[in-house]
Parts: sequence; structure tokens; C-alpha cells
Amino acid sequence: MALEARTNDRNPDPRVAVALLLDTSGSMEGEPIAELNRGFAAFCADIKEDPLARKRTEVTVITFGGQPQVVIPFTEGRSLEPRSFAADGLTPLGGALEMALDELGAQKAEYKRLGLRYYRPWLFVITDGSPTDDDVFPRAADRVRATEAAKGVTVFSVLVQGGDKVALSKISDVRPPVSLKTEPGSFMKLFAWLSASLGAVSNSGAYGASDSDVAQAESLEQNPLPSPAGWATW
Amino acid sequence: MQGVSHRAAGRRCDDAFGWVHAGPVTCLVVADGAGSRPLAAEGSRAAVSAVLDRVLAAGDTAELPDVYDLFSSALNAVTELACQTHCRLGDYATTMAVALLSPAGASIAQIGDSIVVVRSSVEGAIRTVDPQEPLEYANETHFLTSPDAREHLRVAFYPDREVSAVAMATDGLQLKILENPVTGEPFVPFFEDAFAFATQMESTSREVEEFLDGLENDQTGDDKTLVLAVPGTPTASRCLGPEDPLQMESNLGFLATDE
Repeated sequence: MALEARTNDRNPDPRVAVALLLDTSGSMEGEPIAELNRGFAAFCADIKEDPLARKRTEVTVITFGGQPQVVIPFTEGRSLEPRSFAADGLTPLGGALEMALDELGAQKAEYKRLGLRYYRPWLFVITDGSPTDDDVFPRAADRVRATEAAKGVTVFSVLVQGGDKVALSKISDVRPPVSLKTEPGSFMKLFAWLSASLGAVSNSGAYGASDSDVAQAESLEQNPLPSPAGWATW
Repeated sequence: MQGVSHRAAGRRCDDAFGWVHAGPVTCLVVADGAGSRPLAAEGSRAAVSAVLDRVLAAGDTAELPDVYDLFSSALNAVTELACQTHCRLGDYATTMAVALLSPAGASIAQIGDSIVVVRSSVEGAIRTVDPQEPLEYANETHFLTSPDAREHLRVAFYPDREVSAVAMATDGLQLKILENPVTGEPFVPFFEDAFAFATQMESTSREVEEFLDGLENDQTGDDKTLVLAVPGTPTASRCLGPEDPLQMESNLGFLATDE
């Protein structure tokens, strides 16, 4: 008789948690928000193409236009669906950063609870404005930098035309913000770069069971990210 | 069973396993040679073979070895091998788990990231025996050949007939048969099915091998070994596997003990 034993078939792959912070404030109205939506839709398609990234990447989308809010909770790449974001309101970036750190921290705790290993999480910000929550932003920026210094998160920020470079410089000591080229199609290229970069991460062995474990694994093996030169200027 | 990544790389099976019946005693062993070491397959096989020989040598005498004796025998055999070949002991690095079943009870000793799961004859509960404590780094483990091996030997004893079934596996199966690979909590349905299978008179090792071979998406690509023991009539007095570690094919362990 055949041995037909039930096995644990839950996705046991190591995870890279990504918090995508999208500026949907009023100033994104028109072509920028339309381009952002098209870029995000392409990202949702691209991430499914990579056999490892589709299972290892988990994305949450937090928008900050009016109120910061989680519009897509953590979702595996293979299940990620496009969404049309509408532009409205002010730019509470500080609140969005706080929310992102909380979400990433909770997700990391969940990985530990389930015995899943993880890559260093990503916090990826796209904004065309200046933070309008002055009472929150400085504290939030400090917290992001402290988490980055503790090797708890990788921070990227992208300035769409009109974005506040000085403010965005305060959320990372490692990577200064880059500016999105003003030519058409830049949003598409940015999101193609993001899916390719998450593919590079997902195909590496730079994961572990704790933050120190991850840092150790990164020192041994880390895939280089593709160049952002096609869409970014410094 | 050779893992997919090893097969693809043209490598050998670094796992070894075996069992022996000697009088009232049944001994089961699994060992996982460290994939990064050049002679790991020889190390795991020498360790298992030495344990089986030690149990057989005691035979029906009153001087039954305990699990500490068995680990010493395994380490001695690997050390001797290293001396003979003028290689470093660490080149033969291997984990090992031993279950010694007798009318007095079940002793289970492990070093490294093997998985041993027992079913209690009292309440039927299925639990992992002394899972490896989470180490700081996920891919770390301890080896029989480590200088501080003795400190990391984990030993459990279940008196009388408290244990009614034993499953032993190497870490290549951890994601499939554990609920949580960090805490070692077992995925109970797997063991319910596996023990039920082993209890059937007509079950053979070939079917265990087919089962392991069918686990394509196992995420680890590592070698996999599974040895199941349930009360019954022994089918063979001694077994050492894989039959030939240099070949692609290998036997898998399955047996009935005569408790």
C-alpha cells in the first residue's frame, strides 16, 4: 500500500516584507496619479513572473493623501491585484511612516511566530510633496533612521517633481532620495525596477530567523540591485 | 533519499540510516552528513554503522550499551576513519539521532538538527523529542564531530512502554513534517498517517521511498530520510542505508519492532 501522508503544504519560503508608501495627496491629481496607477498595475503583473519573488515578496500599500491608511494589507506577490488610487488631501507622510514601521514590525513578529525566515524588510516611499504633519514627521523620521541603523529595514525614497528633498533626506542615513525623471514612462520604469530588485532579493540567500541572523546572511550573500539610472536622477 | 539539489549537483546522498534488532533491543539511527564538508557521506555512514555494530556486539549479554556508549562508538569510528585517511575530523561532520528501544523504555539521544517524533501510548499524543534549541543563525547546527559535542547531546528517556511509535527524520523533511520548524512542533496529520501506514503488515520501505521521492516542492532540495518504528514483528534483523551512497538509488528505512 502506498504511503499517502498529509504534509505541511503552507508556503514555507522566506519572506521579504515590503511597505509601499504612495503619496495620493491632491497635488498628485491628473497625470501623476494616472501614471502611478499604471505603474503599480504593471508591478502587480511583473512580480508574479518571478518564480521566487511571487512567493517570497509580501507587499502592503499605505497611501497618504488626507489620512494615512493601509489600502492593501500584506499580500503575497502572486495574489497582488492592481488598484486605482485617487488623489486628494494633504501629505501626512509622518503618519504613514509610523504606520509602515508598525505594520513591518507586526509582520516580522508574525514570521517569527510561524517559524518563517525573512529578508530585511523594505520601506519604499514615493512622494511629490512636503510632509504636512509637522508634529509627527520629525519623530517618525527619527524612528525610521533608528530602525535602519539597527538593520531592521531598508529605506528607499523617490521624489516626484515638487517633492521635498530636504525632508526626505531625513528618513535615511544610507540612501539619499532619488528624483523621478520628468519624462513620460518614468513611473513604469520605476515600478519595473522595484519588481526586478525584489526579484534579486528573493533569489538570494540573505535571509534568517532574526535580525542578527539576517545581517549575518547578508554579509555572506547579497545580490546587487539593478541600476535605477533609467528612471532616476540624483 | 537523495535531495533534488544534491541530485542536480551530481552529489551523493549525505544522509545515512540504519536499524538493528538484538534480543529484546531495537536500535534506530539516522545521521545527516554536513553538506558543506567533503567527506560528510562517509562520516554519516561510519557513525550509523558503528552504532549498529555496537548494539549487535552486545548481543544477548546483560551488558547492554546505553545511548552514551553508542555516541562514543560512533565518534570513535569517525575519528579512526579520519586518522586512517589523514583527513580532519571536521571533514566527516555529521549529525546523529539514536533511539534505543527495550522493555525498560525508550532512550532517545540526538546531536544536531535531526527530528525525532514519538507517539505516547498513554494519551496518543504526538510530540517532538528535544527539538534543537533555536541557534542564533538559522543554518547552524551541532555535529557529532564538534569539539564540544558532548555539551550539545540531547537525551530523553521514556520508561516502560510509554512510547508506542517512533519516527526519525533528517532536517531535509522539516518543512513538510513540522508545524513550526523553529519550535519543532510536529505537523500531527503527517505522523498520524505515517504511523498508521507503518502499522499495516504489507507496508514496505519501497513505499516510503516513493513517498519521499514524490515530495518535489519540498523547498529545501536537501537529502531526506524517514525511519518509522511501530510495534509488530521485525522484518529484518539489521539494515544500513543507503545501500550504496555512491549510487543515485537508496533505500529508505521502515521497520516494525517487536515490542
